[in-house]
Amino acid sequence: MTFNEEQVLHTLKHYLPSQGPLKDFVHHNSLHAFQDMQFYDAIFKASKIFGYKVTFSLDEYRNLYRIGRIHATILERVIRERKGVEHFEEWYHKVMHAPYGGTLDARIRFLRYGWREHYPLDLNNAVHPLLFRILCSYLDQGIAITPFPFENTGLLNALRTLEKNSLVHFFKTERARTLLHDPHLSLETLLTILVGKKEFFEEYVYDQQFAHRGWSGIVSTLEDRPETLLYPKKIALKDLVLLECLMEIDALDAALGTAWKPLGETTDRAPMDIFADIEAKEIYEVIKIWHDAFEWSYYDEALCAVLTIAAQAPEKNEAAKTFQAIFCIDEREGSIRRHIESAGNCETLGAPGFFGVEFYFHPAHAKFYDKLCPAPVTPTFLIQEIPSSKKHTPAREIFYSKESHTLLRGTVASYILGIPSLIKLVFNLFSPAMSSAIADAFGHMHDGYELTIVYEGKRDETRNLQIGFTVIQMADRVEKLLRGIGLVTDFSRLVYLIGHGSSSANNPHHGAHDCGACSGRPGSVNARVFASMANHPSVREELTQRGLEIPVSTQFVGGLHDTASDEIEFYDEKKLSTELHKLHAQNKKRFEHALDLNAKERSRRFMSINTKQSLKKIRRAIKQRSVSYFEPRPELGHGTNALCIVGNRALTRNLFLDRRAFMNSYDYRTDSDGTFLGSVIAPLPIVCGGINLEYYFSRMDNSKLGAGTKLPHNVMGLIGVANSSDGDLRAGLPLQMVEVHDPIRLLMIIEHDPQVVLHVISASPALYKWFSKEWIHLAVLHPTEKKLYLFKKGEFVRYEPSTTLVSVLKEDFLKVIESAAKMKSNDILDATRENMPVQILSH
Amino acid sequence: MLLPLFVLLPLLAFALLCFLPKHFERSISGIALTSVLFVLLMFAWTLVFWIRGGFVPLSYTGFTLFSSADYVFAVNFYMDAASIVFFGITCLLTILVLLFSKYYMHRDPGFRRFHLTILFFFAGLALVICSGNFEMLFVGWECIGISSFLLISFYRDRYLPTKNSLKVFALYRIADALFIVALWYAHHLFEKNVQFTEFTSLINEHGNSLVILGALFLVVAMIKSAQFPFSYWLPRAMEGPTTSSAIFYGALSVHIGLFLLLRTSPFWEGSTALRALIAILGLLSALIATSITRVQSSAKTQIAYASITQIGIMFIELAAGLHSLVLFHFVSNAFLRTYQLLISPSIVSYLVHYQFYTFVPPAQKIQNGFLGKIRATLFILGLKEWNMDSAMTRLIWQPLKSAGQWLQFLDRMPAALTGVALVVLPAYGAYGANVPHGMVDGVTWVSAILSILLFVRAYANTGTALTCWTQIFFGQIFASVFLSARAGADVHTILFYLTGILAAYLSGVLCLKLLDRTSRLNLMDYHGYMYEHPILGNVFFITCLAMMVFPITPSFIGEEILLRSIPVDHGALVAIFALGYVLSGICVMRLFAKVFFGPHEKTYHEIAYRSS
Repeated sequence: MTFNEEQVLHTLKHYLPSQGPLKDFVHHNSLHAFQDMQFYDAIFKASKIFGYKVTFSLDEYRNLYRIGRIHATILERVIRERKGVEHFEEWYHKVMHAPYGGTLDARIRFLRYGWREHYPLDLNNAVHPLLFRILCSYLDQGIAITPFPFENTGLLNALRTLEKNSLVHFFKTERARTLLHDPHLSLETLLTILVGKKEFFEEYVYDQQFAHRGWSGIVSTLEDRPETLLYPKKIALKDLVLLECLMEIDALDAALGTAWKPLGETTDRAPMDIFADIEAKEIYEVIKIWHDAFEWSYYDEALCAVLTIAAQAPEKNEAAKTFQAIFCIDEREGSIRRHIESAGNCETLGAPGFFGVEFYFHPAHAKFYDKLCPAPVTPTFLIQEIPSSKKHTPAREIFYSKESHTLLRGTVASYILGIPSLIKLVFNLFSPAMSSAIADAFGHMHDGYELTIVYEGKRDETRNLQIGFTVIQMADRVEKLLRGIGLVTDFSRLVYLIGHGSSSANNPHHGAHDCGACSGRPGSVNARVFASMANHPSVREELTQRGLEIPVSTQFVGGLHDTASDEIEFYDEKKLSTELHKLHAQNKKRFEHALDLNAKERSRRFMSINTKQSLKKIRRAIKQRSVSYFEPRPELGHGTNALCIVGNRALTRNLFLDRRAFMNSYDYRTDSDGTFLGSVIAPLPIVCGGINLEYYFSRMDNSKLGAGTKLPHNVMGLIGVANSSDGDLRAGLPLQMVEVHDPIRLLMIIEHDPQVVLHVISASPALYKWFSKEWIHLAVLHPTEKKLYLFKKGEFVRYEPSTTLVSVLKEDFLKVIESAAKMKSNDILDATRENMPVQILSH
Repeated sequence: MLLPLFVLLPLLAFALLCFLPKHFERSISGIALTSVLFVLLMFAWTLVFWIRGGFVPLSYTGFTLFSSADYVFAVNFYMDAASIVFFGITCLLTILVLLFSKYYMHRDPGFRRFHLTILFFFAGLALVICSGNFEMLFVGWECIGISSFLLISFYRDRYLPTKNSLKVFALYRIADALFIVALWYAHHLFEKNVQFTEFTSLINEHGNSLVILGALFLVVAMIKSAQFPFSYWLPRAMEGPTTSSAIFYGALSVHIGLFLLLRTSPFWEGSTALRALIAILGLLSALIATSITRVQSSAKTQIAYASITQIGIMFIELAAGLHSLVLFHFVSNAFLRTYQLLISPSIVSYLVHYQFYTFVPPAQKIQNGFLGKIRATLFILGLKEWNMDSAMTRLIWQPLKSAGQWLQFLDRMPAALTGVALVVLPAYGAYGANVPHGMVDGVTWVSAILSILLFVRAYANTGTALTCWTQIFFGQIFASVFLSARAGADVHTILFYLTGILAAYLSGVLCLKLLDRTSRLNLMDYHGYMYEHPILGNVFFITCLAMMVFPITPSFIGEEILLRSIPVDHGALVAIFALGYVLSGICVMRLFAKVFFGPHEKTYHEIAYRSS
């Protein structure tokens, strides 16, 4: 057996977490490395290799059944479908009563355990704390006062120079020192010393790196994408492995002298094939049945509701609308859309929150650019903010200053900042307010500053970007979005585009609450840019020629909704005509009222807010949450997301979906052959599926795949969080973000002819795989037949919901919200009860 | 008159909380807050009283818990300027942090446990700050140690919190042992249990002999205030929720060493050498801590070392006799570091945003030449925290562990040990103080050595929990024998000592048996049984406290009396006792943590990686 260093490191990188530095939070499937396999095969294999908990335990499922969260009819149906009617009794018994052992034993970690068995030395304890500290210092973005010396030469070279220059040695023993300075240092040499036998090398490297998957993951990610740091670092996973091996040799030599042998020689077991197929076990079958039943207990309800609505919905509401508002597809916008519409006579639509315009954004006076589009897209455009005032630097917060930590200035600081600290703390507790230390969604862009939206022949040469868009480029984007969401006729006087962002304090994961379609940033610039494009006279002309006529009287207005503080800010209001300005002022009142109701609806999940209070008080409390240092849940993010509905608003307008559905507007009537459908759904699996799966795995195994509770988190080098001074980086989502989440896969529902949908998804292999490998479920509602079809093994088959009746909410909706149950604990059995069933609203 | 309530009210709230269901967050937080708020009000009243009384220290003479010929345990309280300042800040910060935690800790499964621990900590701190004599102060001192252990291991199903809580506890235990030695010495020096009210008059009578006492308290203070070479524990203690790290390690717990120095200032103020030593150690700590601060790249550890730097400077101020400045510096530093810790998670949004507009890559300061060499050296030393942790392991813990492994044969002779104990004890009981003089030495030394050997073995024992528990028990038995033999104590006192230990032993055996009927529970790995058996775990924890002679059983008084009776010329015996005291505490906590804390190997629910 040979050891192919490059090959091993390459595959290793594939399996490590790929979460980048915290400043941009991009949701992705935590088990992305297994995405080529069928969902269940993939998760069970990942579990077997790495010890992840990928489903609930059997007891948890059985308890979910007992409390009624898994419906009996669905469970029985799943058993019949999976095991056949003839085996029903047998499997029913297994599912309900048979005992099975635990499943969470991992393949990796066993080889290196040998060190502890054979020698009086805990190698991880001897190496990890210092190794992590070196990595953190090296990658640090600005916490330390003294930067890592010689860091521009690469990690190992920096250490070499440092060791040469220092009066004390970095390594304790001679051999490690000599090896470090060896110009031909190779991984193979080091592994030969440590492991001896070649056939164990690969397993050893996996054991070693997965003992701290967080740090290895960030190193691997930064090797591939150094641009995700403001202060880029030269680092490679290979350097990390080399350094760790050197430190291990050093630790072994220091503790044991020559009295140790390579690990391979102390074991008589055969090397393990980590990635060998896993043996089929009955418990996997049982878990599959349970999990399907858990998912379908919700899906079935939702599909039945959609079908019921489809059967009764009028074809189209023809009355002229006061205004139209395009929101992000984000499931958190579902409730505010409902509240805006509830006052009647207006329409809301959904489109991915970058509104089809992809660019880098250069804020006034800033030294860097922000990418504002979905993560996989690489824009070639730049939008600059042109300041109208003199240079300003952001406000400094003295309590974060490095000077307060040094010897002399620190002493002065500790004399004079004590009392101000006390005053600040008291104010933070009793009257929280926005400050420069709090992530402010509205601070992303300055409304008073102009943007370079129209191309004027200028380019950004260093990064080869075109500054602004040409008329054709603008028209392309406006046309694509409007046709995609089916807004091609019946324009109202005002059309709003509302992006979203989120403000929060003391929240290193604040990026995860911003817009996923804008690479974890607020969508304000995109909304404003799109509105400006659509208002541009030449663009309108071009669009008219293409058969998309927007009335001259119609104006587009951009805005931003802060999903944590429940506030909306509008942009370029001054550019509206006096008449439209008046109309806009009236609409703003409606938005305000909708925000009130939205705050009330959200407050049902917040213990600290009494949902029965007056709207004004609730709004204030909601606003305060977003700026409170003591509040670990400024909002609940994407928790509970479960559906992605692509179709007319008519399908969902009268449904209470409890903020669980991504909603992309799409009108099959304006796109009967599915020309636009492909580009409409193309970004959805990556954005919505990524969010959904990250929530799924962070909820299922918050300890290994999630970041654990955020209460003890310590910020490491501004790039991640760890639990203590010596801990591994924690990738994934913290408990406070996922505790309300019911971990089920995304169910995508498209309103169209199944044949058209099949044709569209078959055209894109990347898209097709999401559905065929079952990482996302796909259902299609045939709009004219009023029938549901489910994508199964490459074809659409008819689906009849088991649920026959959807409950209709007869009472006042707000009363129902007030009396809704609150979870007692964040155990799944309690938490899941807070989620309300899908209901039809009767207006 | 109100002084005892400072301790009793939080304890009352503690008791109330024990009976509340876990998810009654409002009530739990409400009761905890109310009790501390009441204490603050009473403190305000006391403050007025103190000011109107012309800043004369206040005292309260309570009852005498225990008294014998030459030992008195009196429940007395005392408040001078230092107490007033420290206690005021304690109340204020505890209230603010409790308010903060009410929201911050929401829905944490340990919400009630957190509040219980904070209340226990508050009561302990009140004891330390307001006690009228060293005996009471020491009780408070131990309470702080225990609550520290509990807060560091708050997330007890993970490996690092568990490991670090043991690490910190071990250091604290050393400080406690030195404290006991100091008490023993003081007892002989003053020939009675000193009350702080009579401090000044006593001090004048004894001149130079106070230096030893001062030096002992200095080391205790250095450990508790994380001064060099003990600084490494502070960042490692920040394993609990941010709020508890802020109040404990940003503000109150870490400054308590400073308070001890203030309280014991009459012992060292007269000695120029000691004052110089305090200043030098302070300066050294400040310099070394600041060199470590400079290379810290994580938010909380940076604040921890910055705080240590400031405490080093406070030591200098103290040595210079600037008491008021020290108090002001303490207050200001406590507020600042608490606040910085509380808002530390926000540094990501603040600094990234700030850098977005202002970033310039830092210039390389290290060049060739001598200055470059110094800088490179300081960088490596800072990164390795001046090898403090590893030196401590290499010099103390590793040799102990090796010795313990070598003593493995002791595992195989429980019967022999029982035999020896069964012969020695009744014999001793029969003869009591009339043991022939020649035999005293023999009995004393044999028991002393046996006791230490047993503790050392228990420390390294990776065999079954029950064997380890028994070894600790016999270690305690032999410790009691050697103390009583040398002290010439009567049967009465020995029984006093033994009742608590024996009860603890039996209860512990029962707990371990209930947990694992096969008695094969080993101490090689952590078992995390708290997950399955929280109640049993709590009972066993109290049992463990009793076994390590924590002041909840009569054993504590018994031990105190016996120790005080050791003549002043038997320093070596007291040193052995102190070693035994350190080891027994560590062994007990290690055993407890291995069985009930840490990640387990079970495979039916998720656990975090060892490194996280």
